[in-house]
Amino acid sequence: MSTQPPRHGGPSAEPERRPAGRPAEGGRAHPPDPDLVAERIARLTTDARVTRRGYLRILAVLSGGLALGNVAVAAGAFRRRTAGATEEVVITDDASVIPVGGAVRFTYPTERDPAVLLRLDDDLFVAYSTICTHLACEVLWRADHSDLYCPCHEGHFSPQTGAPTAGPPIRPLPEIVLEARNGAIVAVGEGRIVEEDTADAE
Amino acid sequence: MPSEPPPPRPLPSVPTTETEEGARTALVTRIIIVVTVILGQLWALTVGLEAFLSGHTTQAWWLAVFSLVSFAVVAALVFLEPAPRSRPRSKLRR
Repeated sequence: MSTQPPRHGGPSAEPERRPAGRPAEGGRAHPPDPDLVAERIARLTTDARVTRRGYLRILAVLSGGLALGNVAVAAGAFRRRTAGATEEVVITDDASVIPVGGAVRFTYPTERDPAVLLRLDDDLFVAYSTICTHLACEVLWRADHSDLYCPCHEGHFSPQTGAPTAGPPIRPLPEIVLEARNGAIVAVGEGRIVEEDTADAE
Repeated sequence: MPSEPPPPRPLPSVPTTETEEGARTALVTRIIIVVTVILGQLWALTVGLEAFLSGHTTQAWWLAVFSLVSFAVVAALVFLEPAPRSRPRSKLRR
């Protein structure tokens, strides 16, 4: 025959154990049972803890998230310069309106690929993709500092070559090939594009 | 007068099932393995991102596959819990 004591709160709970602070049938308040209070406190603190098994499940969710993130990265969640563009896009019809040290923003080769045209000297124009080669933020032209600046992680690029000069980026900005036609500036292709697949094909 | 043989020594109290401490050790071991695998996934994510931005798309996909396989290992460790070990009584009495 089982000699286990009845559980608290069940139908056969000990009648003398009442919740703390609740008056007895006669309406008279009794001091709380210290054993009952200690047991409830212990149960509350135990329930609040994350068990080892729960921790293991949290780690499994984290692992799944990392795997999904890795697939998203490989599938192209981050913007990157596309290779092999040969479209011709007129950036400006009149290059003379751009002052030395000035810039014109445009998109090339698609509307989703921001770029910038810089006039570094009277007859020196350069254009770069403004997708930062670090983590794909948009790079800004700062005329007062004469550099291309990525505000996300303090990356700096040389306007002469597009090479990184400071900050976390390690790859140069992709260059856009320009042609001057009757005073207009036309983007005719991409120069230095880092794209393994294209390089292998060539 | 012949002396009486000594009484048989009682068997040591060997538990017949896996102890709570053993189960806890197995659980902690699985947690350590899972954390190690997740560190590998973090590495794959950073290298994969760098590879993608460098134009090495194929390498990025291989790293994604590595991460998926790692997740499969983690899921197996978490959800395929082995049954607690038990020892038959007969082997304890020799």
